[in-house]
Amino acid sequence: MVYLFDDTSEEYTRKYVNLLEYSHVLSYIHRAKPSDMQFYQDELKKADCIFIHRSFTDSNNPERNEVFDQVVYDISDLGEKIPLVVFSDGDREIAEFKGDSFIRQIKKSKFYEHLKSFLEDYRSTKTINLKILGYGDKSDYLLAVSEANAILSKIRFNSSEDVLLPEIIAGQELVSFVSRCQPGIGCTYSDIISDIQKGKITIGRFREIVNLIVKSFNNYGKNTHPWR
Amino acid sequence: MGRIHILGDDSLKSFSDSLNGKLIGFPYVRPTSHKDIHDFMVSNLSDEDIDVLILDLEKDVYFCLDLAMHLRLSLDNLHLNSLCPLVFISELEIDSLLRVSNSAQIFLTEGVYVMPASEIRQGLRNVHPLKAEDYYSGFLSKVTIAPPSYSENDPHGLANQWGACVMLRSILGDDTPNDIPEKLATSKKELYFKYILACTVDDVQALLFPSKVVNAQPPLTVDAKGIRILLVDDMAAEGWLYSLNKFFVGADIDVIDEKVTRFDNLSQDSKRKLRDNDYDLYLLDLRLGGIQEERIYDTNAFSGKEVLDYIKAINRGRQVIMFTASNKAWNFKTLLDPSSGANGYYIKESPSYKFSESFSKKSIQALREEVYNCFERNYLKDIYSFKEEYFVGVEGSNRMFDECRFQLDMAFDLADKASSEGQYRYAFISVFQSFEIISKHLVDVQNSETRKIMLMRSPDEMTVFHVRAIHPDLFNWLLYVQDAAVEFERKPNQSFSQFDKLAAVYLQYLNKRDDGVLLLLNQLIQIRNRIMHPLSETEQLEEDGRCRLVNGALYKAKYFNRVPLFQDEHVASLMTQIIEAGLLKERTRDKKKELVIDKAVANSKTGIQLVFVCLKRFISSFE
Repeated sequence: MVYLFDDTSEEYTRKYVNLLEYSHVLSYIHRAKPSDMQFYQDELKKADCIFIHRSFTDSNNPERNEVFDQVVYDISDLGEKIPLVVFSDGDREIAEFKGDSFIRQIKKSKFYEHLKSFLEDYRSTKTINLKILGYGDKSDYLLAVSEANAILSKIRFNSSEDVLLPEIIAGQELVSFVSRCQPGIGCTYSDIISDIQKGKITIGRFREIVNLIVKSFNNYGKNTHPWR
Repeated sequence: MGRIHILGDDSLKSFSDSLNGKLIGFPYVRPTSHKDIHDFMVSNLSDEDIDVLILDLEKDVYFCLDLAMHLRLSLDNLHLNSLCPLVFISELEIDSLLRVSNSAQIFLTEGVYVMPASEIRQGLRNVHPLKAEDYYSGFLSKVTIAPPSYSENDPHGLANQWGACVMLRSILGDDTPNDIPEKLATSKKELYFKYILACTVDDVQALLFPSKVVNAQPPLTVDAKGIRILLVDDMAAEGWLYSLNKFFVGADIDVIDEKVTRFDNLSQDSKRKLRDNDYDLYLLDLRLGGIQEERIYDTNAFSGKEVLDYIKAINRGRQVIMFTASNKAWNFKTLLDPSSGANGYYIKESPSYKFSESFSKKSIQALREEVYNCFERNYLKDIYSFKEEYFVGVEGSNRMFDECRFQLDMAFDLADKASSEGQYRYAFISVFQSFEIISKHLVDVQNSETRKIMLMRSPDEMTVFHVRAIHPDLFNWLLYVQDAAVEFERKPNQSFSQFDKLAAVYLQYLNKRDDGVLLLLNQLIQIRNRIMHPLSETEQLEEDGRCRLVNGALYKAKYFNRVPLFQDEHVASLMTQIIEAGLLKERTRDKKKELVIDKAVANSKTGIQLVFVCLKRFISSFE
């Protein structure tokens, strides 16, 4: 079960997702006061994930945020004990991750925009994929862009005619990128490194392939471009 | 000559050096808000002369794109720098980047380039800034910025901050005052606000080249020294109070900023302010409950309408300007209802309206006119409170009072609606009509058996009227102004004038010592007569002759300052207005100088006020 603490109007959430439809996997807490937390403590210990609005105030004292503090620091320990997402009215689009189990800040409208996809995924896989909450349906595309940028920045001052050397390009970013590109890429990370070691690939050609792969993520939401 | 600036991390140091560029490091902690991005941009770029800005997209896509969008929308902070060529370093092509964030729209605008690092040196030869004349077609028309999240939950907060910002811009121009409150200052750094500001600006060139702007408009402010204003608005703290303090120079602005959906829910302190305090102007929001009143369609059900009814029930002469974001025609109709509505309407601008800067200024000019009009119409409060309060004890007990009260009701309505010269004249005559009522009820020239003042002639039919009852004080005063006594001489066949009758009432029936009231009354009667009975030139001269001696007395009193009534601050102010308007005419007849108040005084509120002052003296003297 995931828990959502949000004191903003239900009218607002309804624009994005019908929370009742997901009541068997999501518990929605609209109002809470510190004394309620004893009850929630026991339940929340078993939570798979907690979402909380940054301005969630105590229902018995709108000036205080004791419930927020208990949830974020005691119960979740900033994602260490239980994955945590803090959403707010801040208006930058990009979600700010702190590790894999804590989104320090995400724009509220983006959070709700992505929530349905997250809940669908959670309902079917029983796993918590905060990337979906952070990036929404475009998560694979956005992560592919991020990984591609990290990979390509290593060779950005090289000439297109230069032969690509494996020691420059190898690393965790490429591992993640190749993994994301499965199965469309049609080979493994080792196969790619092996090809590079054979000196068969120029930097220009490598850039071209990565661009084509990112384009296919952009166009189809997944990689359709083979390595070879 | 400008310089190449590069936004990136230390890995670009040698690259930057090779271009003789200036490397600006990414902030150590990435900003989480647009305000922080704005501050970073201003502190790093505003004092520079930027030839080209290169942004390392590969190291931080989102920050680079948001910063680029801020830069383009910061004409008033960065001026020409905001148009510099933007070169993004990316091995990925534009097609692959278009959906990464809303700010990626900037790729589709002019003066923006995406190129691999290895091609930049070559590519820089072919980059161009966004031209000022293409700012709209080449940039602004190609992007759309959505409102921030918080506005989805409470659009009123955002709209009010925008409205207050726009008012400030219209009043003071593009200069941001140093003492601007934090909330407004932060709003102006929001990407969405900057976008709307750019969409509504009249003259891009003026922002790009501020030093070239000449003949800047004077501030659109209101001279409000000594004026008391009550602002009733739950959003006062969103910036309105600050902007209004800039608008009303010298005013004392009191505030009720409670969030309530009903008048009844206001605190006792607020109700007391509304009931007991006297303000020269009320600025009243329609929806004090904010979003909670979003779905109300009946104007009468709004909290602001209830407050309006309360304010007007206490005194219909109170001047109220509705101060609301509502632009619904049915709200205008009800709120500006002539019988009990507000006296003006100002639509707080919402960012969704995207009104142009010049339209906003016109709106502020219109508000200014309404405000001055309200200031002028404050005299209505006196008429209203007098007619409501004085007659309370005597209503129904005296036919003369009943008639006067009824007449004053009509006169108030006419004065309340008066805006043209003709309407002011009707109102003047209507107030004057009460004198006719008094005279009709209290004066009898025939029958000595009535309980009225009886005017009769002495046996020789050539002395002052009503010798038996004339009050000695009349003579005291008449001696004081000397020749005026001759006014009361009547030839055998002459009837008693209206002035004769009213003077008798004032001096005898009311037992009052005249302090100038009769002098003023005499003038008002002449004005009334000239309106009601337009004279030929010959008749005019004859009429002037009849009145000359009293007017001569006016002259001898040296412009009123020796007559007690005219020493009253209010009356003195009215006379100053009359003199300034050139409506006090000096003439010489029979070698005697005389002064006459021109009948045109009845074409404005001044005439109504004069006749009301005189009438109030009369009526309030009844016991």
